[in-house]
Amino acid sequence: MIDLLFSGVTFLTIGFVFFGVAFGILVSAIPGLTTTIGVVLLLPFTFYLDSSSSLGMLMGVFVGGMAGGAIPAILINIPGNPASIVTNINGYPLAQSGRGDFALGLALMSSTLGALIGLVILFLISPQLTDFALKFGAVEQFALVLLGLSLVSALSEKSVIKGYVSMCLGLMIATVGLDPITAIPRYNFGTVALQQGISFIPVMIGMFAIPTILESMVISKDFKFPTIDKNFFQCINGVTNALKEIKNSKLNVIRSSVIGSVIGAIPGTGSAIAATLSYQLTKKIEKSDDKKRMSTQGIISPEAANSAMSGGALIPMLTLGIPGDPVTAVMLGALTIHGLEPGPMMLVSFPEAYYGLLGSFAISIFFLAILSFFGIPIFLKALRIKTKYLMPVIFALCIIGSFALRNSMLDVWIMIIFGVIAFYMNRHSYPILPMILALILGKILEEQFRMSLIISLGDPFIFFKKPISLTLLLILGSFLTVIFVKFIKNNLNRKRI
Amino acid sequence: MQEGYGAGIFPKLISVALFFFLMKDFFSPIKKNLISKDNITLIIFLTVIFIPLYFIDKLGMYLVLGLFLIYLNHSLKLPALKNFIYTTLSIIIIHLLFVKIFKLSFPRIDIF
Repeated sequence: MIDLLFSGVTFLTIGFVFFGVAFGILVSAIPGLTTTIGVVLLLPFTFYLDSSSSLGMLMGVFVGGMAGGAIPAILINIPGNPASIVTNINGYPLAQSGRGDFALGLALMSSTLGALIGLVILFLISPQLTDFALKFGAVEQFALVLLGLSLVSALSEKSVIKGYVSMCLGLMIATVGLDPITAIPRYNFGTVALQQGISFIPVMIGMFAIPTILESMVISKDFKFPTIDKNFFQCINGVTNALKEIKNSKLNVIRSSVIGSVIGAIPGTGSAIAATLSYQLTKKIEKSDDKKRMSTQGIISPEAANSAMSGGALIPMLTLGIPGDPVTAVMLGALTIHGLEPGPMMLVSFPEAYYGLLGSFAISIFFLAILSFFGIPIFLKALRIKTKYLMPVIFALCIIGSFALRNSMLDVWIMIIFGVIAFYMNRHSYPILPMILALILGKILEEQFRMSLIISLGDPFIFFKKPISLTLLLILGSFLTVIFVKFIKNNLNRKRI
Repeated sequence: MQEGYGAGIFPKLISVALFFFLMKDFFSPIKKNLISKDNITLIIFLTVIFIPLYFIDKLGMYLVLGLFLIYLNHSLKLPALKNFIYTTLSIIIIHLLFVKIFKLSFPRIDIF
């Protein structure tokens, strides 16, 4: 099995993984840009690479991005991505006291260990889950996708209703094009171009990148990174001290990584929840009045958890075909571009791609360790690029990336239109992720729904006759009941106030 | 016809669900007002982007991209000379990377 991990890995793949990790760290370290934008920007380049190199590169961005968000959180008190939402609480004061290199070392090294534990969990759990997922037919798959979509929509943002509005919009857009069974054109306004449906790649590029560009135009704010007056060897010394501290915090690293992996495996939860939960738990377990101890444990815990989350988030994507967070959603798109279909059959149909992805994950962790150890002084210099210089480049890449998909200007139009829609969705607190997931999974959902009805000769009760689908629908039902009861309680409390 | 089972049900179900959720959201007490600054920025952005994009078959990709980059650099408050240099450099890099290496074929100028 270990042989399979690295069987498809070439020197070119290793090079792209290295590039991906470095790019991921840099993108996440620039406030305003996230790991998702990094993955989206590199997605068009994957059309020209073989599947092993392209997936390796995206995996590198994912792993590097989870760690890189800690850099601005520690240095300028602004989390680079949602994953580092609690890292600044203890990291920034440590940097202010002149120990920025030590704090960065703690964050990046615990991220590396967290990602490694996440990989081990993924490696051990996913084959078992795949065996179970192989029992899934059309009926079970419909129930599973419905459950996954509902979880993502309900858990992603504060308002459940907004999450479901976003999901329904995505499902509606997914119905544009040919009917999956009868091939009758739907909602194409008589145009041939829309008969193929709306591709989710330009939608994803537009929805993640355009709002960031528009925000930068509205705010026009730049962030300045502080200069750390330490030479290369002093920085290395700081990282070595951080490693010693991590060695004394083994239990915290393991506990936080397991929490991160478990949270990551639940679709719709994401890195911010993983980091916050493990931080809160560490705060309770460690003596929170011992400020010196908490100043280090408070960095180790969220960073180990958010990086381990990347391994956990791959579990539902690889075994069930349901991406749990935006980055895995984009990676799902990359897999489909290369003709690979993530889901229960992936391990059986494409074992090389499956283990190749895990192999790239392992190589990414290795490069993250090296870059964390030696790269801190280099990253600190590279981060002086101003955000305003990057935005026009990102916009140009978005246009060319969308165009390159099918050599069609229609995709560029789609990218911009959905970018504007996402800008207003952000402004009015509508989550974007449910819409994108619904667009990706909508076709599968409809296809399985129709197949189930054909199998049962039009009997809709087939979804309640099979044990697995009944269990999944019962979970969905109880989940929706809890949300409904909570919603009514909140409304009653609001009326009382 | 066996293929007909469930045809058209899926879009109808989604439309009804969307209508239901939108109605619920419409009556939700928390509302945010539209920010006029955002709208003005967006209208200018869309005007500058959509008009050249509509004529891309006549203007060509490089000219349209150049216009976008000049506009974005300007709105991000870059001085005119720097704006010109960055735009030119970006177009050259895009040409080398995407046309020379990745062999993409962009729409060309067709004014004459």
